[in-house]
Amino acid sequence: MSGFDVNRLDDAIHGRLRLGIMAYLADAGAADFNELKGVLEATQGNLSVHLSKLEDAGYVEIIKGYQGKKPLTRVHITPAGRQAFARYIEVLSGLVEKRS
Amino acid sequence: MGRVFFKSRASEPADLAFVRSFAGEGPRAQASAGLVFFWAGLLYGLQTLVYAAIEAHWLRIVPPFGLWLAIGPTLPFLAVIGYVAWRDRKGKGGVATRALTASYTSAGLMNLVIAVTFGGLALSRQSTAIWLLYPAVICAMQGAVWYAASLIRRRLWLGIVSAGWFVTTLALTLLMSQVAAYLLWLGLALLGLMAVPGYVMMRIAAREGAVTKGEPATGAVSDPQAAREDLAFIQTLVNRGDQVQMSGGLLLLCGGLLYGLQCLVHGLDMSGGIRLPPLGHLINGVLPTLLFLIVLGIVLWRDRHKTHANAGSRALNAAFGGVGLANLFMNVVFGYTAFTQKTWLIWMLYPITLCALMGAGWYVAAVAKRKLWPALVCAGWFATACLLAARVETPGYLLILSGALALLMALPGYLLMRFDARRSA
Repeated sequence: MSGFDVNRLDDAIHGRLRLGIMAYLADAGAADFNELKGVLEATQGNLSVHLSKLEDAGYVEIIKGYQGKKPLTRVHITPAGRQAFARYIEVLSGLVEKRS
Repeated sequence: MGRVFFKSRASEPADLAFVRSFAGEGPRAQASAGLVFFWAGLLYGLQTLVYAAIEAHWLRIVPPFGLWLAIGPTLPFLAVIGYVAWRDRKGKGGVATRALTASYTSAGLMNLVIAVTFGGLALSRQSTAIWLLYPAVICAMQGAVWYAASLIRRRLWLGIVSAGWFVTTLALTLLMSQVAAYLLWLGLALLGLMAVPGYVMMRIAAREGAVTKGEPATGAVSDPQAAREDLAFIQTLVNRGDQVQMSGGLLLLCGGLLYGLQCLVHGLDMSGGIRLPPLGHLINGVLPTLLFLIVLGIVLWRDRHKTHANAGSRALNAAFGGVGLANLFMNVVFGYTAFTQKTWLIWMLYPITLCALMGAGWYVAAVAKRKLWPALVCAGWFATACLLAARVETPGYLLILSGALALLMALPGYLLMRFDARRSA
């Protein structure tokens, strides 16, 4: 990739679990907390911490509600999150392409 | 996290191309679907409103313009389809995006099958009622598609559009004898429930795909091996068709066997192979549904706490849920119309529609799972719909339907149960 800049990697996404969350949401658009927990094989506490970081960066929107009597946490990717993820992938791909 | 996630295959050009394309595929696919819906709704909505005005004697069209009015919307719409197909020819979505796009496409495929079968029958029987049922069926299919979209994307407005389509299905059924009002409602529905949502989808896609201002906080990674593993991890997470699970194997098996047997008995009776007494007819008519409802109750109770493991499974089950919902509305549409028109032939159109609906559901399964066997089942259902239309009102009709229910419903249901059992073991 021309103009590849290693320093463009986004700190908010960098990290396997946060990258997984963003990748999954980029495809699904939205997911329940338990769905993410299962797919990413993460613990509840760990997932909560990483979701909060992504929420602080404005990349995901967390909506808490109820399904019947059970609490339900749903996570949506935001337009800013999509853009950041696309940029992140571009940088990673560039790194692989350049060194392979 | 993930035992298969560290397989470093993403350095291969095809894998790299997938991951790169995937990041922007959601908004791209949404923009394409929006574009198709917008133009389809606008062109056919306006065409239908003109027909409504003609039917109400508010407008008169002289012969050459009548032909232009009939084919006019289709020509630009085909151009839109061609443009979208060309633009998206290299698109590589994740499994949820694939399933959603397939869900939209399945509505088009079903439209084609229903247009061919109902059109042929309406022409051969000189029946306006059959032709008027065609939009009602397509409205129910639209309801199914938007229902699936609402469950996949978890957006309320998509659910409202779905409800609007189902309401339109019922309204068209009730208005079938008042053609001007029927066409007016249909035209407004095409504009309000297809063109407007299509435009909204394009706007959302444009907003999601727009370049955001401001640079994020950044850090350095210079290890290409780590980058390769990250890309492989992403691909494994979003692109594995084999992770997509379909529930309802037992329902398909029981439904296929019970209704297949029912059609076989009825077909043999019609062809003179066996002679059923009146009580036999009653039992054959009622018992399969009674048994199926018992199985349905058991499955719903058993799976009441079950959630879908991933977005692909959610998407696929949403598509089949939409098919089930549309089937329910089809029962009402064909039952009511056959009863009010006192025409048995209209009720015989219901299984044709059901076959096309099943074909649409299996099309989504084939695209999401990327397996050959669901594609064959899909093709089988569409072929059955055409065959049934050709053999309607003959004993062969019920025998074909019986074979299709056994081969294309019971057998895949059994296979799904086997896959489930193997996965659980």
